[in-house]
Amino acid sequence: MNPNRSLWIVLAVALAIPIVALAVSLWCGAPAAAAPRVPAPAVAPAGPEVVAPHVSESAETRVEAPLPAVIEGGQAGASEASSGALVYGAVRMIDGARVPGSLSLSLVRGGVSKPLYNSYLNAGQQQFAWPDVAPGDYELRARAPGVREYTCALEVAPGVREMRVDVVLEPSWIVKVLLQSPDGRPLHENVAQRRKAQTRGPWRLEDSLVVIALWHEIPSKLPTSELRNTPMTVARWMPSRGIEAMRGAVSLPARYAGTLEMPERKDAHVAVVLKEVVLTTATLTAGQEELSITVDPAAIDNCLATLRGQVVDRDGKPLPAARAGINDAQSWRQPGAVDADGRFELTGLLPGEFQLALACDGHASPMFTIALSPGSITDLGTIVLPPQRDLRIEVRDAPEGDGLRGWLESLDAPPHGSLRVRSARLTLRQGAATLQVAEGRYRLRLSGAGGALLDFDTRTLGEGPLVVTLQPEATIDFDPSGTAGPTHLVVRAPSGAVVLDRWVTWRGRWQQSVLPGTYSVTVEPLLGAAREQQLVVGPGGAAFSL
Amino acid sequence: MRVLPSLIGIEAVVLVLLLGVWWSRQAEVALPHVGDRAVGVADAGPGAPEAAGVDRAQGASASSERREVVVSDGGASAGQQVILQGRLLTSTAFPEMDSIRMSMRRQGTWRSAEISAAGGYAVCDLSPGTWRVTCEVPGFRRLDFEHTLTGAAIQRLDIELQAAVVLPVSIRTTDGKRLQAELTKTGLWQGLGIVITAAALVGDFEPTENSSLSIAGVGRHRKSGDLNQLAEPDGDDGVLELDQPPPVYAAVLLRHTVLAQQRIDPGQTEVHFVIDLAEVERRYAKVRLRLVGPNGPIAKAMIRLSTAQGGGHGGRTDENGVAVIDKVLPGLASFDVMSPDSERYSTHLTVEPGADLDLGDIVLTAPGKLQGRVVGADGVGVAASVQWTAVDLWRPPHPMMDRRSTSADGDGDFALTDGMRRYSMRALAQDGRVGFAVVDASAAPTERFAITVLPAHKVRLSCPPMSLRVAVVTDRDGNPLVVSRLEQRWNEGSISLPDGDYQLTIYDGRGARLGSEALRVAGADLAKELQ
Repeated sequence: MNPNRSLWIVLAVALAIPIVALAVSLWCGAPAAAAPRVPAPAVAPAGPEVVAPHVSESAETRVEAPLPAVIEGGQAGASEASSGALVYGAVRMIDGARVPGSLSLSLVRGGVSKPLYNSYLNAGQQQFAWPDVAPGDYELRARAPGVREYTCALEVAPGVREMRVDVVLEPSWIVKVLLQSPDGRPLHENVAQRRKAQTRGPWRLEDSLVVIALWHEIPSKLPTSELRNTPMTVARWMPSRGIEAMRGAVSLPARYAGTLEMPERKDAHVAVVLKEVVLTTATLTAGQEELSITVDPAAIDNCLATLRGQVVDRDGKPLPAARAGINDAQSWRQPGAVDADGRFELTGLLPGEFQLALACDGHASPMFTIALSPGSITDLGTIVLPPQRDLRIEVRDAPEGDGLRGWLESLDAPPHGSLRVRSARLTLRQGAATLQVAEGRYRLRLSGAGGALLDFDTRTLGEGPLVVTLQPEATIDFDPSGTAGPTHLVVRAPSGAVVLDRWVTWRGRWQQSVLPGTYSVTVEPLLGAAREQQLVVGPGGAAFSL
Repeated sequence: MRVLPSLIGIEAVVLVLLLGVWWSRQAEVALPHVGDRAVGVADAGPGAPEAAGVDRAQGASASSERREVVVSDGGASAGQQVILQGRLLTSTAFPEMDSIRMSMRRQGTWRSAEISAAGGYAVCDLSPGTWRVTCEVPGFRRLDFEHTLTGAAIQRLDIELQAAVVLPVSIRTTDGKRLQAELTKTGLWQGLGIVITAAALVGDFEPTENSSLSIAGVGRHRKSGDLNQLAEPDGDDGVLELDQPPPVYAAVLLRHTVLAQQRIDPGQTEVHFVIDLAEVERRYAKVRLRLVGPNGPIAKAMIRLSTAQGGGHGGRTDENGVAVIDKVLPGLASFDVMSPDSERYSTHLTVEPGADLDLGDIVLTAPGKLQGRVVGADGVGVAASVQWTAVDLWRPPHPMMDRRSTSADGDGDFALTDGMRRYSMRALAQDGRVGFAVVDASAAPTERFAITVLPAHKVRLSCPPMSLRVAVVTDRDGNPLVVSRLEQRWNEGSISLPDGDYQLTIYDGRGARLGSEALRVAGADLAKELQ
């Protein structure tokens, strides 16, 4: 054999080898450098089933009912590094209309109050995506003005990499509401004139005039609350005027007072209320698009209340530098000055329950709510503002972060029958809080990252801080889905301390952290008898269905 | 014998071609370049993932912070929605997700990311094309880069974060007190900020309408969001996060003015500024004026000079209608005069540092009521938001009064009370239609007028980083219709205009006219670079 020929053959074979290797590499479409670019710690263990993600038109058109289209699985490599699933999907209106620009979408893990994700879709946005959703049970909720509240249950199974959930929303039943005076004029014109008579209220008179709806008859007297407006409604009231009008889904001609957004299309009872005072009632028939209600403005005048009193120091000496006012739980207005004798008189006040705001430098501000009856004149007499002292609360081994919440309330009796002690929310920073209080007996409750419930007297503390040790908490899973309407829920600890007192007007589940023990739970529907039962909360928690 | 050399020649050509294809494939999966902000791999901490070494070995961009794996097309194609997901990779503990800001933007569309506690992220409602990605994570270098999305429905991009150089910063007065706390005693709760630049600043920035200047720079000042902390004498002034190793320059600003600056050197472990309180006070301006109405001086009128975020200083006129307002922050101020029996006088002022500004007599007109109706092209009333600016009170480069509005109801009707002047009015319907009108209310009573809203197109505006440009759109008669201010960091914006002919004039932040051109909007969006 010619030695040159052998050399040629060896050379030809040597060139052929990299050609074949490169061709195979390129033909298979696997870039050689791609694999090492995925960081080693981020590669998930092998094993999850894979299904191609579904974002095609056909998938959307298949979903006709407002039910989620769930496609489990994922694509190889798509979420290799994730510690959970990518939950994503599209949002559309069932009638093809534009999705509202202020849509809120949230993903809530079974029973946990705080959403894992809470996304707001901008105008024109129709997709959502949440990474790293761990296996478990979830609720996906969608809320927007003009849209029926949407909730669907999801189960993210272990090993699932991607889950598509399409959300199909239905428009709400929106009723346009005309409120007018007996003379046929729009009621808001009358109310605006009356606003001038209102002093030192926390909110404008016309903003407190709202329309509520319930599925059952509306009692003539509604329970009071510290909220700006009564929560006793199944509907959403969207006034045409005031700051709330900005959130409205429908822009109405000026003659309308607002819209009532009903969650279901069935007969309902409607009332015009001034805070919790029912001014007049009406009925609503399923499908009705417009409702006209006549309200006598004189009824509003008759509701307005007056509050007066005198602010003095511990020795009974008037405090002319004091300030006095009232606020609801959702707004705050600087209290007004008292006169030279420490006296104040607030007129034209809305009836209802408010936080009493009394302040004077160097003196402790009392933590009271005041109940003002419709048309009443309440004279508090002399209110003593005692000297203030610093109270420092230190939580031993406090967890990092903002998970710990605290409340403090006085255990001393209020000085007037219309006053009620209220809890003050504590701001804890790095497990400590400093506040100015009067000497006396208090109840402290801490919760959220361990709990504590204790009564103490500042007079026995001396100059040192109140040091609190947290105990492990358990959770009560409350399920109000079976309630037919507003329901009053009161939970009392074994010591008698109230750990929860509120009207439940929603249907979603939530969790409450408490110390393990036996609790007394009272449930009272708006119309119906109260029932009380014991609830044993072990270290593993408990469930309670309203 | 001739066959073998020919075969070898052919093989050589094929090999070269295949190598070329392979190389180009490599380039496709190689790391995208991160602009000119060349962050050396050597700067990565000892815990930097091994993959960085792969890139370094391949001679890829020195900014080896991102690696991408594009999964196969799940059925999407151009025009469909795309989700980009991945992980923010760190070699240290992942910070609280609430403090992370990640977003993508492209041609006026902006999308923010959802971030998980473990550092996963997802951005949705994207479209194929090149997007600008920005990511700010406390303790890490800010990322700002372009990323091109394909048509795949779900795509992946892992982003490796590199630790920033984090230096505690303190700002003290010459007598050792905390400057911010001292300023709050004088009522100044806003305005103080720190910027970090690669080169030393020469002079002040252009006046801003915001309470503090925001520039991208080469780092940022991160401080507590707790407002109460501002007033605490022993409060924390925060940290400086540097996107590149020192040397860099840090400057303390009072709005747009430079109070102090210093070079941060390699190895420096903290940054300490000492600023004489008197030096800050020298920047405050004094504004004096006399208010006059149809019946003489106007007493007890309320004057307010504030930033775009509110706050600021104010005062009341005395019996002679005179007001002197001290401690006015330098910069662009929203200037409002409120008097029960006069118009609501609203305009803007550029306040120079330390100025003693005498505005002379300000003549307020009597209150005037403007009643109008917003209609569509078909004459049907349209619910809309209506803004108005007194033409004779506006001058470039000031914004128009677009932070106040009134609502036209479902019939399109609206009414507002202001003065007796000529007003440029703009109506914005909920469906994106836009309309303009210029109304002369100088002679009462004004007749009810109409604003016709029409479908609008976007004129997307951009300007070079670190610069301030003001775009003013006027009608054929020279009446101002829209003003868009692109301030330093926010160097993109847009204006919605119906089809028609307009004039676009560009100013810098001090009001110098940089250029003017005819602007025709005709059925499509436009893009303008404001140089």
